[in-house]
Amino acid sequence: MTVFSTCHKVIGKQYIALSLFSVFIGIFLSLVMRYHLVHPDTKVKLFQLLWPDGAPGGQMTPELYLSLMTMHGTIMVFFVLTTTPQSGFGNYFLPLQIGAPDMAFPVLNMLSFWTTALSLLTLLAAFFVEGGAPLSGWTAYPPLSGLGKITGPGQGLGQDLWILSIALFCVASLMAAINFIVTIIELRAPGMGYFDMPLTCWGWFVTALISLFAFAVLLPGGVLLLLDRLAGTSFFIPGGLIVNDQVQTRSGGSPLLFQHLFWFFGHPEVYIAILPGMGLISTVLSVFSGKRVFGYKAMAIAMLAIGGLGFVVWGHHMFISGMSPYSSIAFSVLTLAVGVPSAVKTFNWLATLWGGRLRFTAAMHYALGFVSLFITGGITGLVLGQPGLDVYFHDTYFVVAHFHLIMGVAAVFAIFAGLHYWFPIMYGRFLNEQLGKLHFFLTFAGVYALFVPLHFAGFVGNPRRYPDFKEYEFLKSVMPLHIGVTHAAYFLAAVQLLFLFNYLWSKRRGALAPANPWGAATREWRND
Amino acid sequence: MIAVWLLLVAITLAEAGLAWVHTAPALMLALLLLLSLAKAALIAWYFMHLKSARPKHLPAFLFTLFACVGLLLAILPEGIRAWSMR
Amino acid sequence: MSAHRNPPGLKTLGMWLFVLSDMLTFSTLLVVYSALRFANPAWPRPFSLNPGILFATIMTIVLLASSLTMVWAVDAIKRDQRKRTVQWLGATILGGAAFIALHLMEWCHLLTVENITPASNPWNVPLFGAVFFGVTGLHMAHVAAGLVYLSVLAAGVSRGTFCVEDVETGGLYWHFVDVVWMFVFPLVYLMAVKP
Repeated sequence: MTVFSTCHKVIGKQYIALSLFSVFIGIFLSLVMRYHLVHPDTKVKLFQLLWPDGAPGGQMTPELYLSLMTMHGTIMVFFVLTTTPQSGFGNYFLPLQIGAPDMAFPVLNMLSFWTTALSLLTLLAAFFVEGGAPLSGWTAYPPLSGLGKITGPGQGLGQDLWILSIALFCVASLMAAINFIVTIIELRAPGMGYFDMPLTCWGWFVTALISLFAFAVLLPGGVLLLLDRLAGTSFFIPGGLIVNDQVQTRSGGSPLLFQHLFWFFGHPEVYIAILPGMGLISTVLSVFSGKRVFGYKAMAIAMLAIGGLGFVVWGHHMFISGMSPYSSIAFSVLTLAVGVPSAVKTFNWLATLWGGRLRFTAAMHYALGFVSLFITGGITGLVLGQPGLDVYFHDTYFVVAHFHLIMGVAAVFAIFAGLHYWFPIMYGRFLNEQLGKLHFFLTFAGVYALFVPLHFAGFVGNPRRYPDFKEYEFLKSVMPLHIGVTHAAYFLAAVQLLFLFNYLWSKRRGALAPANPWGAATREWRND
Repeated sequence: MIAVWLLLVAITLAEAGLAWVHTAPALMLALLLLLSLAKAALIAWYFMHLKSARPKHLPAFLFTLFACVGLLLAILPEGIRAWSMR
Repeated sequence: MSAHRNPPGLKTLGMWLFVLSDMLTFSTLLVVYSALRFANPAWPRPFSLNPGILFATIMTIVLLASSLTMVWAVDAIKRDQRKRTVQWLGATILGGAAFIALHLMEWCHLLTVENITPASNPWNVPLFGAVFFGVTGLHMAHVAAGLVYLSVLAAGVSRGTFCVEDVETGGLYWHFVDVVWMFVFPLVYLMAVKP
């Protein structure tokens, strides 16, 4: 296994390894935040050790909390949810499933992985530069992100590195998208039409199409933001700003413009994270029900529809931004329309199970968990898609619970399902089934214990991105809830070690797998 | 090919000519966009060989591109709103 | 590299996808420009007919000429005239380099004589310079990258390692850079001519 390999299988595993590394950093950051929320005044030696400036004497500053939140979000969204389901699984299994010898451009493929790795290193470097990591969240709204050091520690070099990292990630994703699209269009096995492809391939195809156009808009957004910071331009900086008692001289720009550009990418990004998982779940459910996917063609078209609609709903992230309320109505209607193809998918999953001979393997457990999370997370999407409700909920923990369930945890469950399902191909061995099922039940319980209460915190109006609630009388009643949530987070994180152990142990010592152990019909299980 | 090129140069000169005679901005913008689209089409059709060899699904991809640009134009009203918000 | 051979047309399709994606990137920039211009009604229109517009027109024709030589380079490689191909590629590189040289001269003039910088200008609408240097700068970066690309291509053709599709792909990129300028020239220059 060479480092700069151009073999799609090696690159797929490299992507998976990269996000396995990233996910544990992300989890660690979230634990630190959860701890701080319930013990805001406790001094912790470890914090001081890790962030001497951000936690003097071990007392975490609000700025440090925000920088942890920024890095948690960025790492999880870009380097876990975008990386494994699409680039990891896709690289490994797309050529196998469509009967191609490799991806269309192996060298480009290698380059896109190493650009992604470079992007991750650039992002992590932000922790170690003067001022530390940026504070502006994974959305990096200006003016906070556009004015430099004056807006806080981490808004200097840290924010520059953050933007650079995202720009690199855009380039890597564009290269990967081109590779995926060309492979699917040109290298399908003779006689295999688009509607003969497994739904997994449809998931990767639609995701690549989305990436091709979504990242193309984020890239100039990032470049212009960087110009605002480094060249003194004011694309996103309005006039008349006073920051930390200093009058800013720049004028003419529009912060709303950045939000538009960001969410033009940002909403499709949500589907970039979830569509490969949808394809994978369809396959897993059908294999372990012993039936074909119900309504195959409708499933493929629903994915295309979700991908297409994904481009016309970005405004629902901006209901409270000061955008024209007329736009809000249009965006709201279109947003609720996403429920239609999503419901098609959900009901077809249920119909695939209906009357099947179900085999409850570990992968099947995760697939069912995915459907469950997709429904619970999706229902709250219908709530947030309505401007009237969103105005209340937008900056509360309700939104945190919503997107963690549907975008975060659902996609992660798809990753778990995929790893259990394809482990025999990747390593010739099984992931331990008993351990896998145990891990599933504990994770499933932990996830709901963690995120369901956060909806209620949202009802109360508990704002997100606040490092400390004790100043607010109306939040006193929510504290017990947060203590419970924090304990659920500890539990959930500890349970993930079980999976890490299973993964590392089974790679070398797991039960040997025969060819096609699940009795699947797709090409990757045929012996070549 | 030289004929196509001469046509491109001629359109370019015509565009510059619009500036010369000080056409009204709105009319000028419309004419310029039209002429530029014509130039882009000429370059794509003859120089980029769309006339002889088209990559698969190009109409679908082009449609997506134009749809995205059209969507982005939805941002423009926000710019106009800025007047009334000041 | 693996032993299999890919069918023809892969690189062409790949380059077309890149071109479409990058077109959206430039479109985004131009939409940003339009939105900001809408929001700043006092947008300056500083370019004089001579030298301003005349100079930009000459730059446009130089870039168009380099597209024509690129067409001939592709024609030559299709007839397997490698030497001729390298010559036409050389002419294209020359045209691109001339474009960049002219462009930099213009930049210097604007920066030093007219006092238009990315952050400020005499009319107190700082975004004018930001848009001008942002848009033309990104385009110039594409031209510069194209020069490197074409040089590698020329070296490969003269060594005999690159085939017809490689030159065609390079041509697609170069014409694309030309197409982008066909929108930058009217929107950034002609729409900012002195009234």
